[in-house]
Amino acid sequence: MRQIIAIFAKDARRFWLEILICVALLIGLVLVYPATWRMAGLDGVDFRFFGGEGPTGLLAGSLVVLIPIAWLVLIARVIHCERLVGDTQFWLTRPYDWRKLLGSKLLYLAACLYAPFFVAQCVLLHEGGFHPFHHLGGLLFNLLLLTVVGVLPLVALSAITTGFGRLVLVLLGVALAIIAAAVAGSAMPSHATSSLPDIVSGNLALGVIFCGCLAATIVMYARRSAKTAWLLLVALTLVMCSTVFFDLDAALMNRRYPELSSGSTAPVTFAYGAQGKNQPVATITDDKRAVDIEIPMLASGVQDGYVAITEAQKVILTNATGAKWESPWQGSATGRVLPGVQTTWIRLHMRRSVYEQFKSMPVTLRVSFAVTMARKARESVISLPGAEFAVPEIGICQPRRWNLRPDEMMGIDCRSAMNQPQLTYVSALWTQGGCNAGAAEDQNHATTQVWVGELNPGPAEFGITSVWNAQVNLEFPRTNYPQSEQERWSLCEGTPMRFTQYQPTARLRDDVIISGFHLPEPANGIYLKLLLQE
Amino acid sequence: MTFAIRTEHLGRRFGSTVALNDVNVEVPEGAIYALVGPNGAGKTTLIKLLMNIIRPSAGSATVLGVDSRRVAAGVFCEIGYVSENQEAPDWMRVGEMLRYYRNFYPNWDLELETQLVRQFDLPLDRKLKHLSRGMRMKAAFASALAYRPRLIVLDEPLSGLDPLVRDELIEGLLDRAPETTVFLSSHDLSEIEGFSSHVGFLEKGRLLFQEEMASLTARFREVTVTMDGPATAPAGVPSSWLQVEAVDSVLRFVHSNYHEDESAAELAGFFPAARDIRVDAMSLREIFLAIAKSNRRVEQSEFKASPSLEVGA
Repeated sequence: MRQIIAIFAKDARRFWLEILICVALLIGLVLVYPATWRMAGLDGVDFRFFGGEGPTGLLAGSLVVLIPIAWLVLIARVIHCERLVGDTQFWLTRPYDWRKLLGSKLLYLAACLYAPFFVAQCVLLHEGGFHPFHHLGGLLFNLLLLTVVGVLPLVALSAITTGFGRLVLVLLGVALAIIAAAVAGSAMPSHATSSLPDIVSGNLALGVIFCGCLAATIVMYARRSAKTAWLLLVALTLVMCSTVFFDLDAALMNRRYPELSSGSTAPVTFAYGAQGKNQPVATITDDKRAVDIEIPMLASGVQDGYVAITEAQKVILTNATGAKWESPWQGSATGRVLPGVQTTWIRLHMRRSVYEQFKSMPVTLRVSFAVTMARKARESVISLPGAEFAVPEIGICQPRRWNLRPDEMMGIDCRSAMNQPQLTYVSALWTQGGCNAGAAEDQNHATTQVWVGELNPGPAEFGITSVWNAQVNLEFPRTNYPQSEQERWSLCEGTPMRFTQYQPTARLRDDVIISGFHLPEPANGIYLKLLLQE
Repeated sequence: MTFAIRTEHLGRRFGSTVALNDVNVEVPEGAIYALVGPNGAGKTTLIKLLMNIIRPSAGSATVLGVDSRRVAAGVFCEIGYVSENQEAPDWMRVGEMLRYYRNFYPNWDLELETQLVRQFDLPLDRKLKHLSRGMRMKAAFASALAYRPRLIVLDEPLSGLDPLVRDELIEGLLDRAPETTVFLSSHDLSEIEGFSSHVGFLEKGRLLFQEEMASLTARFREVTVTMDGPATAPAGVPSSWLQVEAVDSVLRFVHSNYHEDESAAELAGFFPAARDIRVDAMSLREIFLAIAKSNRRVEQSEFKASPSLEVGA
């Protein structure tokens, strides 16, 4: 332990400036970031890493960029202080035990990076109106994510490089490899659509990164075998890049979303929904090599208290000549089907050659939906107060006011702790023509709804800040460019807002067959579709 | 006899380059062993192998009884290593460095540290990066001697230093010599001639010989034979005669196995008509040059098994 403390103390003395800068940046974030919550900008504040609009938002955004850079310098400097590559370092012939050396570096990171970061996260939670103790799991999980996606890879890369310049070059190389893989992957038709639900690939990727980087680090500290460590990290990068081409989740979709057993009633049913303005549309992609086809579907049969969430679909096309084409599972812009009949669109991405082959004659279309059923778990009705208020399903919310009429509200801004909230359905009653007392009965009212949050948010989402802005983008009942005061829609103080939280209950696959379907002629881009829908 | 260092058929390649080939070094405990050889002979490579800084490609070595591949923290508590090529924690002050190293050595002797600091006149409050080369080397010596290591390994510690600093360092080293084994490398024979007890000569990755200094200087003699007429080398010249050269009436050679009692009669037997036979002692430098040159001649003659390699071994 004496050796660990000695090395730690030596590093802390040597890199006091780097430590000071890191701590100062965190203090700056703690001071600046909460100010952005109170800005309540017109467009809302969608925080991930960046702040909202204006100088304060810009400053907060700059800080969340500068903090990882400061960490990069902090980590690289302390690892390179006892450089592992080379044969002329002073410490190689001193009684350094590699475990103690590694232990001292971990102690340094714990004291100079993790501890200040943890404290900053706690302070931000406190400032945000949350009790840090209630989110201890999320805080620790965020530290774990920080380790896996940030600290450990940087430690491993620092361990195999001789200095900061080399490290930066290697980081650029890794970034280039990822960009190249992403570009190559985007050219594949099956990957051009949104990604599939993250079944295993996300966790597996984190596990692979963790194990690969840990192994490379230990190889370097225990044996100083740079060749082996390089091989490990190159292999790791290749494996990660290869996931662009081989989506492991696609292979697991059938198991994850089992077919309905015969005789059982589908909790949601789909039918071809072309009617009126809702007609299938085909759009040729910019590179002319693929076609996106959007097909309207009618979804119904969802029981009260449930919502059906379509997460992906696959399609099998057959025609009279016996030709057949089967798409891979394609992620879709998630559709959420509530009780009643509802139109939902499926978006199918196919190669141009396949499209040309099938468009000339009617086809039979078998569409498989990957559906997650969620049940209402909790519901609150809150009379919209004029000031900040707590919503059990989301976190802390505050009214968003009209700039010129601060007594009236045009929405709410919410913030949640550690990640986006559990999937919540928010509905609100709007009033047209102002919120003057006593006029409510003879005024127009309308209700709008919006989905907020995620179905499986997990204990924490990786972030520099522990408080997240939950997007509650309630749409105006109609376009809200009022010609007069009487036409303007507002949320009035005391108006009821309903927050309904859903928990996933089951996953299933639901098939629908459409016979005699004609692939639509290509439209001239998205505008034609919009025109048709108008 | 126990050995502080022992290598067996030790070899190291860097790609296609053979840096060390079949090296068998034996350093008895208590010896001051000087490993000499020209630049690029493989001295630093051998020391790095012993210190487990790099790994051997062939053979094995033991250092203080431990396989060199297992030389690590515990063993380094008993080894003092100083190299001209080694980086130093330049940003530290001398005193800070000594205080820092104290944490690593259970046997660190504070009194000895103070003595060494005084002996080397080290400025404790100066940063290492601001010290002269000589002072840096002194600081390195102090930090490598203060814990009374059983083995001191020095890689070209004296090269490029002025004579005064060199003497101070040697003095400091010799003060510790009775309680330790010293293994040092040098390309300059004059550096080590005065105080080494054993010497090994490394050239092109091969150990040409190793021997106690006293026996080496005792058995090498330069012999000058003056004849009345033109001198020629006699038939059946022993392999221990190196660099046999005849010029006019004078024949010169280096006798590498000279014995006071027997060699005079041997010479008289070879040269019965000699007008004069003179036998002179040789300096270490002359001995090494003779060996190196004769070895090269053997190589040029494409003798694979060179007799000169076994000289005195």
